[in-house]
Amino acid sequence: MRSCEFAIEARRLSKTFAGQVVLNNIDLAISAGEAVAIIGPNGSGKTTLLRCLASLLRPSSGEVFWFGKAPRTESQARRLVGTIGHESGLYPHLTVRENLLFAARMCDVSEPSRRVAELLAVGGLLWLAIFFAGIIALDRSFAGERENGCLEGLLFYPVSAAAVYVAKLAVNVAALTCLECVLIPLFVVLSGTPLPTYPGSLVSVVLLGNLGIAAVGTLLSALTSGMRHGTGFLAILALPLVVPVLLSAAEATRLTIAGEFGAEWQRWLQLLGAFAVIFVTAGTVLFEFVVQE
Amino acid sequence: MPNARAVHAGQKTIWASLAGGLMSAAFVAIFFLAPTEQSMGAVQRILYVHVSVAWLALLGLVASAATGCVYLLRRDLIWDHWSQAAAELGWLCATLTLVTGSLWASEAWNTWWTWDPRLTTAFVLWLIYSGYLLIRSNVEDPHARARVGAVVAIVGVLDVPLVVMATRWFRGIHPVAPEMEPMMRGVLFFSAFSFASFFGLLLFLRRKQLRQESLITALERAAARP
Repeated sequence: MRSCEFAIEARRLSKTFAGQVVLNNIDLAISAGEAVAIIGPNGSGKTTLLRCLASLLRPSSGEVFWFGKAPRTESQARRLVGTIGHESGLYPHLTVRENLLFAARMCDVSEPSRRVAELLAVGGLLWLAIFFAGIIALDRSFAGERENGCLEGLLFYPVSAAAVYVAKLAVNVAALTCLECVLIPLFVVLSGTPLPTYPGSLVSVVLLGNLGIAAVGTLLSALTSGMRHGTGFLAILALPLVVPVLLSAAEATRLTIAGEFGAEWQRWLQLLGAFAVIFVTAGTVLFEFVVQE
Repeated sequence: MPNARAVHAGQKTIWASLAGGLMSAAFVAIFFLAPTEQSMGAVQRILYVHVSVAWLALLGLVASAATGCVYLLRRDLIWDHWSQAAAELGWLCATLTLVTGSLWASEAWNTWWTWDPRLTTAFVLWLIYSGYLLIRSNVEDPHARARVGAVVAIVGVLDVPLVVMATRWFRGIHPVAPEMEPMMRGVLFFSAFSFASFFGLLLFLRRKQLRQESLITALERAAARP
């Protein structure tokens, strides 16, 4: 009795071309859900192996099974596994998104645009847009204080410097939120991304992301506002430092739009929250060192 | 009674010879002692250099942040010199990590670069180092520069766990702790140790250089005052 536990199985697979042995007694077992990469130098037989596994090439000896069935002899078995070869079969005049939507509609996938949004990097695009627009706002954080000599006045107040930081942070988070009230609807309209099923969940992702970006941005803005080319330095420095926040926020947004609130979404949200907390703490502690000589 | 400078020079010579000797021994080990790997052959030996400098790149930022932290508390510029030296050497190690990694990747994956999580976070680390050095060069007053550097390094060091855990948290093609023969493991640790001692030597020398620079600048300023 053949076992059905492997999605793709090759037993003692061999292929010879005109006396040249290309595949020599290969045993391979791939389980469902596994991602396997076959790598090797040119001419090592990768394409030959894949074509044999795809039942496009008859092996010289040995057998190939898909879920326990032999695809070469049982034609119904060839429904079980999809193949993309050197020719992708995609439509070059359509965008990636349009290709995916087309295929989804042809195969009667339910909620095609939501499923497509789950696969594409819409989260990353949105958060990069928020970052670059937001950095302009963050750069202006301390501009007013520098011009009037107001910063010393603020620091003279009988509160710790950290209080000034927290106040600036709150203002910057509010500014980013206002920015997003315009940016997100615009983004939804222009990219054709569907609105998330539960918009409330997006609010928590966005607020945490804002907190993380503003925490780093406010601290660095205090550092760079006096310098020549300060804006440039702020952008250059802030981007690598907020990468953990942007990454977690982008992934959480993608899953929110797709409506998948499982363990993965929670993991990203936790990571986002952790970095937001870490950056706010770091900013609160370090701010006094930035503004006081 | 031997004067302090002669003693110091003696110590430096000993250390330099030790570090140099260790490095040479490490390279001999890498090329002759370590067994040849099965699938990749000789190219795999780059791993010993790549992993050593990668660890040092991470260590450099941690050291820079730690000494920067001490500067913020003590306000003694000597800590800033350590911080800057560690960051400069760390930047060098980060660059070497990316270069040796690309050389290996061109053979193993048939591409010089890919946006795998570990590679991307390593590149972010390199960007943090570069940003640190860039912004420092823009500030003239030594104490202001030290403050700026310390703050940037401390925020930057928060990225280090992300670089380390990138291969375990996310799916990618960068190898994750592959199984190695004991001899290979031994060569790896020996080579990491040798690189680390060489790094330490360079760190001391660079720090001393920075201190002398700052002393000269102070003397120039004192002379310029009427």
